[in-house]
Amino acid sequence: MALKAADIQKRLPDGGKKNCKECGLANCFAFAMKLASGAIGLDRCPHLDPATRAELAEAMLPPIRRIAIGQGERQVVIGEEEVLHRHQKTFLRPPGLGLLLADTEPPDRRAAKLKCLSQWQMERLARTSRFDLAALASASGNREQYLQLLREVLDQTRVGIILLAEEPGVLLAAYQASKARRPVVCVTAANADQVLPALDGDTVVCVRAPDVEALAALSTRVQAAGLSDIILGTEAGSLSDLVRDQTLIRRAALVKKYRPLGYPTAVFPGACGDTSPVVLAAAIPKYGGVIILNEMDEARFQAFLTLRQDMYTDPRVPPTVESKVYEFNRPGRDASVLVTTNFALTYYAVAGEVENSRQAAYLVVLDTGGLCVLASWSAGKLGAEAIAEMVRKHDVASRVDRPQLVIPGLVARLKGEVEDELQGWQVVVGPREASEIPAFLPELLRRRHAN
Amino acid sequence: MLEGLRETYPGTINAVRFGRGGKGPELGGHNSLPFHDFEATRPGRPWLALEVVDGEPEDWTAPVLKPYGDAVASPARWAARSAREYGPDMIFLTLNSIEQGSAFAEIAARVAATVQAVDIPLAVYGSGDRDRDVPALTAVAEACRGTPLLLGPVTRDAHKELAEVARDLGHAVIAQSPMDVNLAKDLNIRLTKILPADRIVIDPLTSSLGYGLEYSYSTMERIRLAAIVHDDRMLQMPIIGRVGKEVWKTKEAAQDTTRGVWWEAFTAATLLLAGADLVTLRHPDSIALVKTMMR
Repeated sequence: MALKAADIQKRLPDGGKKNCKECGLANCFAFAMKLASGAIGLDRCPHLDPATRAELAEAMLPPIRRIAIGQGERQVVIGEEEVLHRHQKTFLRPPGLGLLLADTEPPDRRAAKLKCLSQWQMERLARTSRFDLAALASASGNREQYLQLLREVLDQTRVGIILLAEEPGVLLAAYQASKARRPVVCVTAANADQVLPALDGDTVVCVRAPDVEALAALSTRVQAAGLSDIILGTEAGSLSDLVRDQTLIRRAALVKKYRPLGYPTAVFPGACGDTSPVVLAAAIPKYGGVIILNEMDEARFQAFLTLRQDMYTDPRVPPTVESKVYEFNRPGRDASVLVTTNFALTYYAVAGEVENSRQAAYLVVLDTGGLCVLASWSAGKLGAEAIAEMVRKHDVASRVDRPQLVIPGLVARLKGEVEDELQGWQVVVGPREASEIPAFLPELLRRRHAN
Repeated sequence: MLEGLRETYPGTINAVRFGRGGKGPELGGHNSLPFHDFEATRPGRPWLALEVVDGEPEDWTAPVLKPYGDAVASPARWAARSAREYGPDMIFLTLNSIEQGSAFAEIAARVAATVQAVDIPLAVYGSGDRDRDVPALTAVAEACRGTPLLLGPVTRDAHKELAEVARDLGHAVIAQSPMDVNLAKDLNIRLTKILPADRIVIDPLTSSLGYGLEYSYSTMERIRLAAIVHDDRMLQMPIIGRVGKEVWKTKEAAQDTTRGVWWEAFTAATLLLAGADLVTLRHPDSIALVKTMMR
């Protein structure tokens, strides 16, 4: 929220000292607090004059407008970002990723892109992610050819649609044909006069212009035409161009509260199609709201989606993995059993090294609330009882011939207590660092066999 | 309107100099946030390094070694081939042979031969085991006296010995601390009591795409903001991201080389955006891909 409660209070009747309680709250400051958190509407104050009401309503808008593209489960919601750097709070709404389809592309290429949009998905950290947008370019300039492409996308996918045709006749025909799917209509300074009057008031308009100044001018024109759902479209170009445009737009919105640039952005590959895919990937940490790719393959698909998931992880919440018993390298009766925490970085470090060791193993992951080994031990979340309970709950003893439990080297002192809690188990102190696991596990196996 | 949005910053990143007599290329030396060319008077251009190892490349998978052919048998030949064919700014040599039990004099001789084989700067990285790294890197530092190397890792535990060696023999060091802006600063304060600030590079540790990359990103970004925006002299050192090693041990990269290349390029690109001035890579296709971003 852009305004603080104290700033709002000053603009309430009698400088916020009227305290008439007609809103149902104890005083004007309490009302201002509720307003600032969005828990109450301005209309609850009967004494606000219309000018102040409008001014407050404007000031309380988020600095970057929330925009929804498409519908249903593939809907993409962007905007309302509040920071320049993710450590200041978090990046909020992951960018919509999409593919560019030109109406002149060969059928096999088009088919491959449509398949990606309709079928490909990635599961990671209990989340499903996909490419949810199709940007349709009219390279032919031919209306029927463009509409044919549009029909294929409408028929074969449920994704959000971005109409990129320049020629107003082609663009508006496609708009009419896909209106039920709420397409995003791209507008330039050249076609705005013809296109804007033909659009419904709730249409999402993506303005496209060669630089940030021109984008601000065009978004002002769109706003004046009665359309408020706007996306600022930029061409990626070089990396320093991307960083400049995206940084200036976000600064203008957040720092200066400059309304003409207070919208999410879209990043398109350059017209000649030679934009580096790495520059487009850079748009993920660098504020892209929608990012459109021209090329796609499976490796790239996973890399883009993984980068998006990483950068939009909330730094205020410790990342965790599910607490359960994980299996590595097809564990059998002879497998080693290790214990660690569910802090994602600890888990990844340990899991990666266990995997690399090529040794069969069970990894018992305790729910430590996302704390690492030492922190969870000192917080009492990684104690002998918790370890024993987890091992019993998953009946790990029944999976191996010789119950032997490896505890992290950093909590070596728990050895005796765990042995007391887990009758029948031998407790072994493991390495302090995950990187020592590949050397440790084969040695452990040798010793098991020797005894 | 937009003119008011361009900012100027008080801080400058130190220039670490390489080449005989310090007349070679400079790492760092700019006064801008990453790729903020639009508001920098001295924009930076980060370095891309290719990784090379001596001894057995135990933690390299066959598909990543393949492009280098039989040159991998010798660090000098491997480095020369990488430098000639793929155009890195630096060679990053990891001394696997320390753990594999090579004599320190042999290790040093191999590094000296590698220095001779390439005309770009060389970083030499130990095993992380202080007891063996200190004598091994000391031998290397002596054998390469006169050609500044970037030596590491220097951790808080063993910072004194290695910093003194680097100071006396004209080398720079990689100061390694675990992913925290304050720990990086603390180590730099200790090191600058021993050697000049422009002979230190910060290694805040790297995590790969999909495995905590966002931690590395935010740590590097905070270090860089402190240096440039808040003019914190104890953080105005160039930052290194050791990407190749972290990426190629992930499941994604190990299982599929094409995917590994994307993983490596995206990890590197993301860290460059956070503020890394130097990233190390393994696959030739990755360095080519990252270069497409900087053209």
